Amino acid sequence: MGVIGEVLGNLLRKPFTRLYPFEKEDVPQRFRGNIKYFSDKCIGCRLCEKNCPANAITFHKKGCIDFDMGKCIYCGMCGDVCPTQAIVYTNDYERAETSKKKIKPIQS
Amino acid sequence: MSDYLVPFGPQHPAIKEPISLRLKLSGSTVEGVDAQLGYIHRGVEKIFERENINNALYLAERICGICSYAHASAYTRAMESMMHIRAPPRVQYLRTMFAELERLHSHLLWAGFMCHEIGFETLFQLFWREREQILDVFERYTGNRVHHSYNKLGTVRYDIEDEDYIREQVHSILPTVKSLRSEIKGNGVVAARFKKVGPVTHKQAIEYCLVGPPARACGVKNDIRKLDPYEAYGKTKFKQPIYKSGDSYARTMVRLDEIFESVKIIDQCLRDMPATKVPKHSLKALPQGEGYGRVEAPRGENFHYYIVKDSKITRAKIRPPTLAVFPALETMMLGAHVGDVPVIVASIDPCIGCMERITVTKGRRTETLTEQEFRRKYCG
Ligand code: SF4
Ligand code: SF4
Repeated sequence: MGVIGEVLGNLLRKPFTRLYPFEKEDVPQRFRGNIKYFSDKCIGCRLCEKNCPANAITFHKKGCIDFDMGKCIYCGMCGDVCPTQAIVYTNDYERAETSKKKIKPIQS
Repeated sequence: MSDYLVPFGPQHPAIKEPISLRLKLSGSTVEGVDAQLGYIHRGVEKIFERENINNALYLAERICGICSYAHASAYTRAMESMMHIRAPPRVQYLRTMFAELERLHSHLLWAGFMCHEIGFETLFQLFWREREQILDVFERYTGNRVHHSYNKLGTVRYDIEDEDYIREQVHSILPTVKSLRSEIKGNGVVAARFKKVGPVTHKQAIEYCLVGPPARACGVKNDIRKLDPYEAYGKTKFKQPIYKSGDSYARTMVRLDEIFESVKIIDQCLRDMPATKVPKHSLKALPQGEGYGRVEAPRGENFHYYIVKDSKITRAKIRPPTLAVFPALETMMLGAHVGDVPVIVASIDPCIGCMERITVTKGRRTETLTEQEFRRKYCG
């Protein structure tokens, strides 16, 4: 009986799924999507490079850091340790690309 | 004498996990099972060695994709016991609450999976739809649906702001889960496929050291939340569902009942949580020593052990729940109909990725060894 009631109830509900590429999901504010790096805020302390569990960060010089987003596991450690909030997470979750080179953080 | 040797997996339409069994059949009755492991061995324990303790937390979380929070909890428990730190009460309640939310989502996922095994696709979809409500809570408060990265050593990453949202989401699943549970209970097809399938007796459960829901389905009270209360479990009241028959049906019922107990725990956490501040996380430098932590993951007892030197891990030993339940799989299958094998495998809620150990391939023979056996045989 339970399932029959559920099925009849669903006749009146609106669809649970979304037509994804046309209808985008709103993600919550804390969502850890693509990384945004503010090179002007960076003081060159290298804490992010040292603490990245996936070794995805290569530090070149102050204001010039490479993020290998293919390696990144979106753990949030680099943003946590950065003393000047030079690394933040955006709500951009559409990270599928056709080539490794194209998956890049947002630089500013 | 068995008539046939039938391979089951590692790629099998019924089970998504790469589990590989060789079934010895007599007619259609299983007479022997030979498990061949190693298809998803990742060497996680080895990767832990030389990892910094602040970073290894994220590796611990990635041992399993479904009970990732349980692994992170076991890791933090081990490290905090080693460094003799205790999280403040609010953090303990938050951790308890998220651990229970994870149990909810894991059990709903599993219940859908179990219905999928017997071809009941409607129930499968209905269970998974409810699971989305819980994942929304995770996404909103931790920043991710699956690998939450919520725990930190000594604290948690974020506080929660509006408790009503969690209460609302969690309670919104209850009416549907209740009606689906009564459907499973009263449905003749489900009873025929689950009842008396893969039974384990109370004595066998103790001999095999079963953990988690499979043990509670044969009457063994072994909930770590009760036996060795951690975080805020000592301050919350809940029952451990116990069944006697030990078959797939009892295992199903234990998990479905646990969903309701988890909701009770979440309500108590939200009510009793002290309104203090969550401390900011800080990197821990240069601890030494050894620590272990065990938690009740959705699938059973999850045990982590670490030796740390100069804030680097030098040895890690992880015993996830499936590793403890796996040896009993043969007992469950002996005498079963071959068509019931997927149901039996699914009924222990296997997580093969968690439990893979060493496989040595030499010519065409494969064997699965413990560390001591491996050392004795191959390391001189
Ligand atoms: S989110 Fe984690 S893995 Fe990704 S770059 Fe930052 S620290 Fe490294
Ligand atoms: S932690 Fe922040 S300030 Fe330091 S190097 Fe990295 S981005 Fe720059």
